[in-house]
Order: sequence, then structure tokens, then C-alpha cells
Amino acid sequence: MNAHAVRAGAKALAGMAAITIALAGGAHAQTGGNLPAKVAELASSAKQEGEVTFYASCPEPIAAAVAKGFEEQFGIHANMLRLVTTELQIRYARELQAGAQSADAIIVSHGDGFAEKLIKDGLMVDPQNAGIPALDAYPTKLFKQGAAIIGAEALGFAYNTDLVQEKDVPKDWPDLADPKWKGKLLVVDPVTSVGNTLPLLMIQEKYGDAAIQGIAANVYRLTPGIVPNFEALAAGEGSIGITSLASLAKPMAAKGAPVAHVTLSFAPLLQHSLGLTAKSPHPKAQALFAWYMMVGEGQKILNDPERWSRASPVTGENMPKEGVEMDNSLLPKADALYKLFGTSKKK
Amino acid sequence: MTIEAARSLQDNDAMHGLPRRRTKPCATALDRISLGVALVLALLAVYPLGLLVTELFWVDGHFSFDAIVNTATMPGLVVIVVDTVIMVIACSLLALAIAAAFAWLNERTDARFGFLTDTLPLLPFMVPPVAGAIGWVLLLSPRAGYVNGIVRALAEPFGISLREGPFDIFSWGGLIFVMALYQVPYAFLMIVSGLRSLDPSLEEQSRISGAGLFETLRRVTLRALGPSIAGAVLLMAWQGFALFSVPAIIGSPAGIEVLAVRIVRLLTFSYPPQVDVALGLSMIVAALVSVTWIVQRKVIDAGRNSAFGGKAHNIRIIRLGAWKWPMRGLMLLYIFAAAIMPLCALIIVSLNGFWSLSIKWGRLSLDAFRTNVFEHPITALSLWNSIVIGAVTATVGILAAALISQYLLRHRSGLARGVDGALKLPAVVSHVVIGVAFVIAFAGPPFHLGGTALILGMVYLVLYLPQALAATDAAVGQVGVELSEASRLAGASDMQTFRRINLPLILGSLVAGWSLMFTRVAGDLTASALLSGTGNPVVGFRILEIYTNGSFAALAALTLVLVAITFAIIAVLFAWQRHLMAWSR
Repeated sequence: MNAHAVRAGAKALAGMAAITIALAGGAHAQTGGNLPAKVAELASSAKQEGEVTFYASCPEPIAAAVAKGFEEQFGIHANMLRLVTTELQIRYARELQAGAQSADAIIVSHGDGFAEKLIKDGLMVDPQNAGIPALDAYPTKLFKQGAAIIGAEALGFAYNTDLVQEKDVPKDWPDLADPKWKGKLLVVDPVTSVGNTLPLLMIQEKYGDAAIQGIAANVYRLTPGIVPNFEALAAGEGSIGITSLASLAKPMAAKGAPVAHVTLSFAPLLQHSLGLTAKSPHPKAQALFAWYMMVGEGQKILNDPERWSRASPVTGENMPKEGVEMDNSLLPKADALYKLFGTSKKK
Repeated sequence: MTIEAARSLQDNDAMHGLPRRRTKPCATALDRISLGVALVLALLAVYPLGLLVTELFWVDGHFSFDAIVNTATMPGLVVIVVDTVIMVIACSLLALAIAAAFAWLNERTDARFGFLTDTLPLLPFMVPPVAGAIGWVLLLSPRAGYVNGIVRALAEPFGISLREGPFDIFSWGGLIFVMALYQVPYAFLMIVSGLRSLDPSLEEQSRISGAGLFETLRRVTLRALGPSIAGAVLLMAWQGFALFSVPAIIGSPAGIEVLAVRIVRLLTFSYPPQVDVALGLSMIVAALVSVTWIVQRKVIDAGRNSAFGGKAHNIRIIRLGAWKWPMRGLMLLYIFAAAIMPLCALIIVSLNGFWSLSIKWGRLSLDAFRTNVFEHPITALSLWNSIVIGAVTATVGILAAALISQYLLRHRSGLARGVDGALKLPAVVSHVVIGVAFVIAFAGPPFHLGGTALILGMVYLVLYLPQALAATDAAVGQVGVELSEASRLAGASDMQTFRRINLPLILGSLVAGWSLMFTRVAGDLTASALLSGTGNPVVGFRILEIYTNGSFAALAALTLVLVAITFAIIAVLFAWQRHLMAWSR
């Protein structure tokens, strides 16, 4: 072994050691034992404020776990209020416009530019300008539309395990257009929300009109929401439910319901982003909560792949191969989609 | 002055051929208090909506008619309006027929079955509509509905093999049937309280004069009950146009879209909500309900000329003879089908953990109750808040409604009619719109009521006062003004007259109205979604949360606990009311 090789080896070892130490230190800091100095300082002053309040549209057990984790790590009470995205946005925006700020932060589905509109009015603040410390590990590309993307979940379909054998489970979206599924699909009615419209439009965009027309032709019934869709699927009203979230399918399957979730390679991504209130009632606790959700323990809790099968856009963990962000530019095609799915037709 | 004394003075006049005394109403202390209460409540209704309407029509310093244009040009508007009207008329007629038959059998015949037929018809009303609709989906879904499953299993031995059906809840018939079930309690309560206030001597005189049972029913009872029936129709129309959950869960999958569903979707499809078109559609609902309202006022006005005042005393129960048990059977069958079956479906799902026809009886558990009700950190507090806010709001609301109805009966000025209209306006506006308006008006400065129990109480009062007013309008309309005028002529003060004459006579309707308000407030979902917060959680908010991202088992568990509490409170109240009325006879 020559001297050059030894030096190169030593450099590599030193580099690896440095990376290991940095990663270990970082990981340690984020488990709460040894916070970055600025975060520790922030935590100390946040404690004086006593509490933080956040609104969230992710499932209640996840939001509750996030709140509990924050309380355990920082000793600061976290109030949580959960509703679906649009209702939360209406409520939050109207409170801000009325000067009745009750939430310090809001976590909702990303994609409609909700925060941008309120930042323009001085009612929200962009997280990248909010003075949140120690965000080195947060990818700046995730600051979008005045919010910070902090979590994701891939949308797929679910099937009734009593009615569909594993070998017959569709491998890709166009497989659902096969006439053998005629009268067997339960689809969440796209007219109920933009979140139920966009995935179908994205499938249409990716696989063409024939695929979505075939899927529409196989529909047995449109359901008024994702929960009724899952329940009807478990009961055997249909064999396949579109669309599905693993975070909802898993708890049902754990109770013995014959449902299983499938994430396909092309997966519309339901992303969650964090928005921050300007003139927050608890500014220090708000900044600390934002740090916690973006790079701290909250990030791990929110996107825990084991508990909720979610994915982290921040670390890239569990992200689907072909995860695609919701594309609001497709919405002008929505009316044609509704017609196709017969939502305006009588039986 | 007592009711009997007032009645004898009134009868004395009639015996001596004197015209009925009707003094020109002059403003008394009670009138001033009633008007004050009415004005405050009208302001509470109009001010927030006024702010919202101004925001919509006054854009960038000038009037904008975009809201009207966007509403008028909405695709499919005519179909939605026609479908809505068909649904409301059909379910109201069905409900009225069921309720009238039920009320008459219960109050005038020996087919009454005590507690069973007194209170159980109200049970569907106590189930929040979202859970009630799900209960029927669980029973009558074509493939996995419990009733369909049982019918198919029974048909199998006879060689009849069905893959699905025979019933399909997702149809016009299913929608009208479930909507009617939610209308029956309104009509039942109104007609029962009308029958209890009705002096039965007229019916007896009719029969003594040779009129048969049905002729008496048609020519005396139904005519005298005009104000109650009109009030019931008005309430059912409001309810029919406003109810969102049942048409959303049962109608939409059948391709039937109605105004209430479209309004809520305009508000919740995406951000920002299309409040302008939602309000425009609400105005169409207002126009449709106004027709019912005008008819109701005319019936009440007409009822004044035939008002005979007084409450039921010495009622002679009609013996049905051989018809008694068949009638009882029909009543019990209705109660079983309308009230017990959907609750049973909810109980099974709550114990099973999910909806399934293949129930593993050995694996049933109370997990859904434990995790979502008993051990959930805020459910107990939510339930308590809902019951307390419901009781306080219903008490304030029904007393205010009694005063206001009394005032409106005696005064027909433009101001009185304007106040009446303002108070009833919220009945035709989507609750989501009113919730938004309350956030704008009261959550921030200068009131700072956001997140308080007070703002919830205020919005519930505004939302459900029209229902209380329909109940009290009918009651005071039926009692008329003659007894109170007789009391005044005899020297009783206005306050004494109200306390000792009017109040006892309309007590039955007050209890009915209180029950309507309490039940609706305790289970309110939509306004609660916008105004209930971390500091003032209510159970409706939890139900909505579970419906959008939980499970049917969790929803069923919470609903069943709420129904049990509500039912217990109302059953006690009804027992007390019967006791009180029996005692006063």
C-alpha cells in the first residue's frame, strides 16, 4: 500500500467519521436530548408562552400523535383541531380576516395556493421568512406557494380481500378499466372536493381518455367521501375502492376488515404543507412548532412509514417511484370528468 | 284570573249574543319587552348576514351583481330546483300523513301505548341526520344492507336467489322515505300539542249531533288544527330545503342533486369557497319557503276567527274496538322500522368495528365506545358542552319565541312583520354561510367571541329560533286572543295574563319546541365546524370529524351515546309535561 493510498484511505475514514458524527449529532439533537443551541433557546422562551395551537387536516390519530410528541419533547401544551382541508381553510382564513387569530399554524393539503393569498393580505407569513432556526436539513425546494411541504401520502386504490384474489389485483390504473370489473368499482364522488377530482384527472392525463372512460364504465356507485367508500368496500358493496389512503386502510384491516391498500408506481401525492399565522398568538411556540414539524421529531411522527405508511418529502423516505404532485392546472377539465362519471345523471 | 274564569267570561259574551271582544292592542310593558327581545334577536340574525352580503355585493367600491349573474347562469340550475321541490313536497306529504294518523291515534283513541307511542316516534329526530342516513344505508344498501341480506337469506330456501336487493336505498323512493322520517317528528310534535290544546268538547258535540268519526275528524278536528298543521308544514319545508346530510349520503349516489347539497359543495369544494353563488341559491330557497310561510300566516289568521281557546280537558277517548290492536300493530311497526332498525344497524357496526354482513358475533367488542367516547380526551367534554349549550339555548330560545309569537299575534304592523321575517331568514340560508357570517361579525374585534361558548350559543339561537317560532306561532294562533282579552277585561295585568292564561295553554307546544331546539343544537354539525374550537368543543364537531376521516363504528358509537342522553332528557320532559297537563285538568 503506497503513501498516497494510505492518505486517501485516511481522508475517506476521516470523512466518514465526520459524516457519522454529524449524522449522529443531528439525529441526537432531533430526538430532543441535545437540541441545536438556537432551538434550545427558542424552546426556553416558547415555554413562557405556555401553549401552541395548530389546525390540521391529516387523520386525527396522526395529528394527535404530533401534538403529544410536541408536549413530551418541549413541555408545551399543543392544542389541535382537525377537519378536512377546505373547511379548515375557510375557518382559518375567516378567523384571520376577522382579527381573531386562534391558530398559530395550519397543516393542510397542498396545491391550491391558499397561503399565498393570505400572505399578500399580511395575514400569514411564509415559513422561509419566519425566522425559524436550524433548518439546514430542510430542502429549500419544498418552500412552495407560501408554505412549507412537510409530509406526503400516496393515493392508490383499495380492494376487498374476500372478493378479489391476490393474483387478480390490478397492477396499474388502466387495469381498472378492464370490463371484468364492471359493476365492481366504488369511487369517491369527484364533485365532493378538489382533492377527489384531481387524482382522477391526473390518471386521465397520464393514461389517456380511454383509461378513465373504462374506469367510469365500471363504476357501481359513487360514494360521498373516503370513509363511506372504505366502509362500503369492507361490506362488499364493491370489490375495488378508488381512491384510497393507506393511513385509513391500515386501521380498518387491523380491526379485521377485508380491505387492503395498493400503491401503484404512478401515485398522485397528497402532500401536506405547513402555513404560519402572521401576528401569531404564540410567536415563539409557533416558530418552535414549525421547526419541530419541518426537521424535528414532528417530521418523523407525521410521516412514520410503519404507523401510517406515509412518506417524507424532506428525507425522501418511503416516497413512491412516480409520485406526482396534485396539479390544479387540470381543473378546467373537471366538468367533462363529472359528466363521464355520471354525477349529474339519474339512475 | 284563571283560564276557567277567562273562558267563562268569553262564553258569557257568546251566550248573550255579544260580538267577540277584540280590543285594539296598545303597547303594554309585556309588548315592549317582547318587541325588545325580538329586535335584539333579529339584529343578531341580520347583522352578520348583512356584513357577508355587503362583502359580496360591494366589491372594490362599487356594486357588483356577479353573484346574481353567476347563480342564474349556473349549469343545471332548473333540474336542481325541480328535484328539490319534488323531494320536499313528496316527503312532507308522506310525513304529514304518518304524523297526523299517529298523533290522532295516540291522543284521541285507545290505541295509545303510553311511553312507546308518546316518545318513540321522536327517536329518529334525535339521531343526527348524518348518522341516521348512514343507518339506513347500512340497512338498505343493495348488496350489503342488513335488511336486504336477511330478505335474500329468507328467500333462498324458496329457490329465489338474488345477488342484490330487493331494496335500494339509493333511489328516489329511498331518499323520500328517509327524508320523511326526519319530517315526521316535526309534524307529530306540532299536531300532538295542537290536539292537547284543543277543547275536545267540540269534537264530542259533533259526534253527539250525529256526525261520524271520520266526518268529525275532517270537519272539526282537522279544521281546528289548521294552525298546527300549517306550522308543521312550514317546519317540514324548512327542514326539507335545508337538510344536507340525507340528500348528500342517499340522493347523490342515486344521481339526485338538491339545492342544499349544491350549496354546501360550493362552499366546501375548494378554497376560496363560492359564497356568492351559495348565497344566490339560498335566495331561491328563501323564495320557495316564503310561499309556505305566506300560507302558514293565512291559516293562522283564519284560525283566529275560529279560535275557541282552552286546553283539552275531560277528553273522551274513542274506543276503536276490533281496530285497536291492528292500529297498535301499525304504530309499533312504524316505530320499529323508523326508529329501532337504524339504531340496531348502528349498534351492530359500532360493536363489529366496521360495516359487514358477515358478523363474527364472538368478536364483537366495545372498543369503538372506549376509544372514541369514554377514553377520548375531548369527547366527554364535547358531550357535556353540547348538552349544556343545547339546554340553555333551547330555554332562552323557546321563551323568547313564546313572547315574540304572542306579540306578533296582537300586532300586525310593518315593524312586526319585518322582525318576523328577519327572525325566520336564517332558516333558508345554509348553516355554513351563517357560520362564516358569525366568524366575520363576532369572532374578532370588537367582540372577541371566537372560541367561546357564547358565540356558539348565539349562532345556535339564530339558526334554530325559526323552528321554535313555528311551534309557538302555531300554539298561540290556536289559543287565539280572546281568552287573554277576557283576562285583561277582568282586570288582570298583561304579565299576569301571560303567566296565568297564555303560558299554561301553550305549555305543550313550548315543550315540543324546546325539544326541537335542544335536539338540533346538541347535534349541530355545520355551524359547529366553523365556531367550535379547542376551547369550546362540541359533539357535532367530533361527529363531523369522524365522518370525514374516521369510521362508521366510531361515528355510530358517538351517535348512540348522544341519542341515549338526548332521549333520556326528552323522555323525562315529556313525562313531566303529561303529568303537568293531567294535574292541571
